[in-house]
Amino acid sequence: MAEEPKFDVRFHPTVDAEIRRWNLGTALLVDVYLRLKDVLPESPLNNLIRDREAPERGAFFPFQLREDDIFLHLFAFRVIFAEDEKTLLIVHASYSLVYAPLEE
Amino acid sequence: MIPDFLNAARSDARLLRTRLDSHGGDFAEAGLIDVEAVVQRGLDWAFGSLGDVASLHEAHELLEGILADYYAAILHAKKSGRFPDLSKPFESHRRATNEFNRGWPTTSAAEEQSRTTDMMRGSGVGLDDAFLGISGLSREEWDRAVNARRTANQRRGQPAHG
Repeated sequence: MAEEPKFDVRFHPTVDAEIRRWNLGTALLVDVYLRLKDVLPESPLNNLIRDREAPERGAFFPFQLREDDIFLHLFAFRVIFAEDEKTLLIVHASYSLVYAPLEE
Repeated sequence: MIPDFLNAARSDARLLRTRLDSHGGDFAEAGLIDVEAVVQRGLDWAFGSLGDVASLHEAHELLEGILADYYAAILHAKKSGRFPDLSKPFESHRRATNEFNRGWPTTSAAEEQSRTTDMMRGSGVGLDDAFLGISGLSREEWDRAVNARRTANQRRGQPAHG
């Protein structure tokens, strides 16, 4: 099977501002960066949720990070495929903090 | 497919706004709409509906309408002079709006199209420069933090904690 090409990932400038407003600490920010830098481009088809009816509507890259035993950080990046088919364009970033204590 | 509770909340918000606009309602009716709970339920639904972009856009529009009507109701109530303390609904609206803007997985369809067009024309920033700027660290400090995290994750056999 042919190896999937590694994709480049780019942000719309407003996404930069959206992430700044989250006020994440450095450790969490690094983990978000590593998901986008190392995980997403390696295999977009496995990591993205694409629209069920119209794949041209784009996709989402959702993931969650646990910082401690109490809270879960939920992220979803809105991804559009560029016309060059080698670049993933991120046009929106969303984040929610959820109370989700680990069961003992 | 849009969940029933969102359509119901849209009708309630419209009704609240109309009643207060005509000075016939009581702001206690605002209790009928817990905007924070509506946004939270909406977010829970949205994260389970990422494969349905059209419905996410439609729900985004509904929630914008709910928040706008709720805010208009507060302004009508203030203008009427019949409600001395509107701090609770005002604060509730502020928190709900922040959660919605931060957590909803899409923008409006029009805004998304505009951003996509910008990027197709070449606008956009690379990941490395963007995150370096967001972190507020020097390049050396950022690289050190990233490398330390990569090493720790590789030792644990995963890309990032979670």
